[in-house]
Amino acid sequence: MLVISAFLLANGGIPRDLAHRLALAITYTTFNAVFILMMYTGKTDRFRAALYVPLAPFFTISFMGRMIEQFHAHPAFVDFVFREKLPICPISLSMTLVPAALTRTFFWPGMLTGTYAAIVSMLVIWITGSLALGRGWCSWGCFFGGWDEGFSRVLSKPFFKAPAWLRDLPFASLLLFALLSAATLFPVYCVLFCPVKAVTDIPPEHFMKAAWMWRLHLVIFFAAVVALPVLVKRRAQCAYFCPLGALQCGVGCVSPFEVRIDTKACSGCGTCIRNCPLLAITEESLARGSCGIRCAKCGKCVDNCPSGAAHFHIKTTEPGAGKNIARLLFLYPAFFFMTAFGGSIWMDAISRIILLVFTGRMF
Amino acid sequence: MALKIKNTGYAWAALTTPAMILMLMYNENLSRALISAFGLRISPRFSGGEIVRTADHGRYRTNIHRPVFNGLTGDRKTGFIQVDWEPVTSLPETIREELDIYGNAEKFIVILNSADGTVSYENKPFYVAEDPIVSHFHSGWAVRIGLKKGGRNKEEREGDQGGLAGAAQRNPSLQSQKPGESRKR
Ligand code: SF4
Ligand code: SF4
Repeated sequence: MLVISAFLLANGGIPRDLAHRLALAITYTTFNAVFILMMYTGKTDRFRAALYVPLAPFFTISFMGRMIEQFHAHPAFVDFVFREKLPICPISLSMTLVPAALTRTFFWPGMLTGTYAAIVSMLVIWITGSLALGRGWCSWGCFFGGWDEGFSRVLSKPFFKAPAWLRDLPFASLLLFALLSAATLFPVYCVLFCPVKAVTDIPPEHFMKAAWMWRLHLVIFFAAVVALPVLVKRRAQCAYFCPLGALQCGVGCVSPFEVRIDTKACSGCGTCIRNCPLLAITEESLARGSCGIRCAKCGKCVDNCPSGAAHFHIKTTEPGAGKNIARLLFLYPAFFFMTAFGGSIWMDAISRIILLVFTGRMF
Repeated sequence: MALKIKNTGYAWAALTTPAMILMLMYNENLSRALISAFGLRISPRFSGGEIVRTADHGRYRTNIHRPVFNGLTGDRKTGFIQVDWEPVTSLPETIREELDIYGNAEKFIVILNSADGTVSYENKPFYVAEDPIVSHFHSGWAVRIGLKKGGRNKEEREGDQGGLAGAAQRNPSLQSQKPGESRKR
């Protein structure tokens, strides 16, 4: 673990400048310390969250820094369709899959490979992440989910309970935006409705002029990513809106891992139902010993179950059997994924913060 | 039998770790393999389409891309043609470019004010839409002129919906002088 994480984080070489070296040292130490604590304590979620929640603000710092750097030389930020090297995010990727399958072309103003977050490079990451972790992507890899996870932890009790049917909204969102994107040949969700747009993009010039668009993105961000998660104490954006989350629920069937409830050990206290940040567990699924397709394998229910009934499980093996080995076999790929995918974001953001503090510049 | 299935589960689970490490280490190679295996490309709706003609004006160059109407399952009724001017340091304040998109003598002039990015037309044919998308790069200016189908030639107006590659072939002014990919910014 120590060697492989060093290799993944350093990407084959030690950075030349001090800020990046320091960032590498901080990230490497933090990630490995967290992994050791996970192994030592047998707890998963609280340590995962310690890396996952900062990932979202770090992504904003890293990505916005790169965008400013990339467009630095331009007197104006260019229109969306002209952004030739625009990095793609996995949510937008899900919108480009239908047109790509039909035309073998990607409807995105980016590069196929060779640049930061290039389209096919991201596709390879997404395919492997999905095959290995299924919806675990949403708790171990997604660099947006940390926002609503962080805000969902602010209050000790929910202010109100959101209606259960909202759980199905992401599926409708996926269908609607996939069809709309295919019909308009434009990533509609990404450009117009993405709840994290306000903190992860620089609006093109004509969008800035149309200040209402900028305000709309800010309103969506504060409503879906800040206020709602605080009030309902759930990862509201992921649970109620995210189309990629819905897609991950579907592709999750190919992952060998799941979280199950050992019905013989379960006392029926309902702690897991009340605490699941993604509303994955219901009374019915609990009775079946399943966490359902919405489970993102965060491990919160496993950590908090007073009877030890909730556990990581390998599909095709008996429920309740080999709990520890299943957890270990899951944690390694999940942790490598988080280290390489999230760790690089951690490092880039930390190095930009160091640069900002000592030089007043972010790149 | 049950043991076999159980072992398959463990093997499948154990394989995810090396698969993950290999993917993370060889992402670039895997991406290139996927691109060549499936012939993946960026849609011309975003790349602007291939450059089919480059006009050298001495101080500056004009790149004219092929008209793009590509849709999901065929051509769409509306599209665009992209025109770029570079390098930015040598561009006159007012640029006039004569375009004959379909080689049917319906020439029109696109006029770009490189100081403020406004675009106007002279002799605008019916199939050219009003509001182009204009962008300024460090290397120059690019304009996407909206097109409606039906402007290519007489036959098309009377119902021929043939491929657009043919339009570039039929039109000598759109034949590639310097074949190239879409412009690099
Ligand atoms: S928290 Fe544990 S004991 Fe309580 S209902 Fe959930 S699985 Fe059963
Ligand atoms: S069911 Fe458990 S592991 Fe799955 S998302 Fe909910 S709390 Fe996390």
